[in-house]
Amino acid sequence: MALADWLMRTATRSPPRGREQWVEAMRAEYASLAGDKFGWALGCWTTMLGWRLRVDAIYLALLAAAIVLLMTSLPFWVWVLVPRDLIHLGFYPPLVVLFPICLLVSFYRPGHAYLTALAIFLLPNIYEYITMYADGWFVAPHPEARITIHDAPQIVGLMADLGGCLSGALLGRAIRGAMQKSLNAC
Amino acid sequence: MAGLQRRPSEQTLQVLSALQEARRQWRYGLEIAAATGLKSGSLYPILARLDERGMVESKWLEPEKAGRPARHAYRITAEGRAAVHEAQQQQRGIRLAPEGGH
Repeated sequence: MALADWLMRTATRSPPRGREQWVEAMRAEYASLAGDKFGWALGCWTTMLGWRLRVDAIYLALLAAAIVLLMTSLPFWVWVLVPRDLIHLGFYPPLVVLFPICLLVSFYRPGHAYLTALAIFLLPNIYEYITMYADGWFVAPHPEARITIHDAPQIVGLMADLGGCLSGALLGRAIRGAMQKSLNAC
Repeated sequence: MAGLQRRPSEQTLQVLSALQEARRQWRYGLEIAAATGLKSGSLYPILARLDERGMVESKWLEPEKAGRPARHAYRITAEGRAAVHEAQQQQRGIRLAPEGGH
């Protein structure tokens, strides 16, 4: 029963807009149910997943596209977009890509700003570590080591990535919020 | 009226038929699941769609036992009955069509 209760709690935690009463309906039936609670909870969980995916389909596609783009061609764009002189001055090149991507995705779905920042920060970096340390196991291009800033330790580069992602995502959310507010005031 | 443009699925018709059998009585999700054999994962997307299309109406009923939450109950509308009728007519037409062709 503990697993069924947990599934039901997970399913009904944050329903998509317009589905709140359905979540309450499923929860109320679950409370009245005597038998197969797990089956009912699993069904509610898959229903919520379906509704969530439908609402977030474009967002998830955008996020996936951004992550694939970062995994495959970030070093290329960094070299194309960032002037050499700026890098010599200590500018951290990946910010030129991470910051605007996080800003745009969060502008589209401001409610998921933190998820956007974390996904865009974590997944390309995990991929980079895997390809760096498991080079030869996978058929994958060896990316440029972008997680260091000049001679600073890697943690500095990672924190710069995270900072760039978070600030882009939060700025995107703030811009969207300000636009919404001014539109509502009109 | 979008609901009437597309033929309802077999499972949707099962739900509508179960509600039609109940006539003007309100039915809970568990009762519909028992009548149709559908699991919650199929039942609630169907009920939500039918509600959006106006084929089913819903309301919250006070719990039968104290301490339990209010329950959501469903009833078929005239539009839902029309959809069932239309689907039954279509099925009859499909069955009769080969004989009519000869």
